[in-house]
Amino acid sequence: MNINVVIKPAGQCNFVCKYCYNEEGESKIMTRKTLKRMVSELFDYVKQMGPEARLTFIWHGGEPMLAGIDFFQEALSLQKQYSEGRDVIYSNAIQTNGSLITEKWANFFLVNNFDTSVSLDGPKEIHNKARVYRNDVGTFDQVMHGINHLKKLNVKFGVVSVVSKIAKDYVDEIYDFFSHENLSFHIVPLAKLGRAVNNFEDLSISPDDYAAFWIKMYDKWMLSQDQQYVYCKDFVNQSATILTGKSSDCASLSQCACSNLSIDSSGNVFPCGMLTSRSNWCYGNITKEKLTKIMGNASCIKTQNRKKDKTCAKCEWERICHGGCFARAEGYFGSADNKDYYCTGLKKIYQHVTLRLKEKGLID
Amino acid sequence: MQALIDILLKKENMMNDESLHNVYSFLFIK
Repeated sequence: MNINVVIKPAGQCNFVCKYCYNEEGESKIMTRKTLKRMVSELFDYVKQMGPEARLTFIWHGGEPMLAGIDFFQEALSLQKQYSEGRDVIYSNAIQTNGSLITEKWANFFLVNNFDTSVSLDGPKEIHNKARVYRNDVGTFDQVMHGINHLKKLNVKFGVVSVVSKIAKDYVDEIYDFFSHENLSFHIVPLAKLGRAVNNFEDLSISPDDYAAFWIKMYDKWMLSQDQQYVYCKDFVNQSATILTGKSSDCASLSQCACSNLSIDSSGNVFPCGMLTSRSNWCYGNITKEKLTKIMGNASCIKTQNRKKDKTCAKCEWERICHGGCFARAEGYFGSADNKDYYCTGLKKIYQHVTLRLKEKGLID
Repeated sequence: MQALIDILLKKENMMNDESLHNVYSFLFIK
């Protein structure tokens, strides 16, 4: 069993991206006392999953690097302390906006084997439309400065690109940019949560437009030769999912809340990193209760066994998507029991990938 | 060609690894 914990050590961010799924929260850095309690509770919780359980600390945000390098050094020290004598394999990953990466930070990620992921939407003119500072100035130059530190030290990293209305007509420009910069990337569609709700008219992308973007880029990626080729996590994962029937990310994971949870800077526990702004999704607080008890409460059990939309049972792709992302359903429809907002687009994507894999002889 | 290699490598990994490792969507991990 593997538990992924999306941890938000900083409640704030130095960017105000127009589509961020976090609400404008209180400016708070996780205290060292809460950090210690959290690490201890997580190892206790995962230990009971059985031998060789895995625990992945995903440092997310807000901007996690605002917590400071000393905070992370203490986290590593606590991980070492609390993993002692417990049969738990653990690892660290970080999702950052990249602007605060210095040579010292890059070296920290390298030495401590952090899987590093930077948010970047493509070339400057596209990235700067939504990923801005509080004064509305674009952040591209600072992000690329941080990325260059990662490149110089050969840190293992990739970028995450949000697909919204801004990106939809720029398939070639975005792919060519990532290819030219040799940046392995991942794409995720806009989620109607947090700040994206207020900017929804300007940013929303329909399921069909998302599918059109995805399919056009997938075909370009498939045909890319040597120097033009760059790794895309979503294209690889969706293809492998069609071939294996196994989920490769949480959006299509049946009962994702059984293996994923999120903890904010105050120690509040949620089923998903996308829902930490919504107090009605809070399971409890690790500074007040044992995590093992929190994960056994009624709201947690209900989320872990969430219902799927009735129409999903008749869908040929249910075996692949398992009803889709419940956080997106919550954001778009106000109910996590609804089907994924991107349902019709995802069906087109699955059909297209299946067709291409058949053409390549990988499916009969 | 490289796309197919990466797809088949991922398929192999997924077949051999029953754990659900690093599956949060909003994160790049190979």
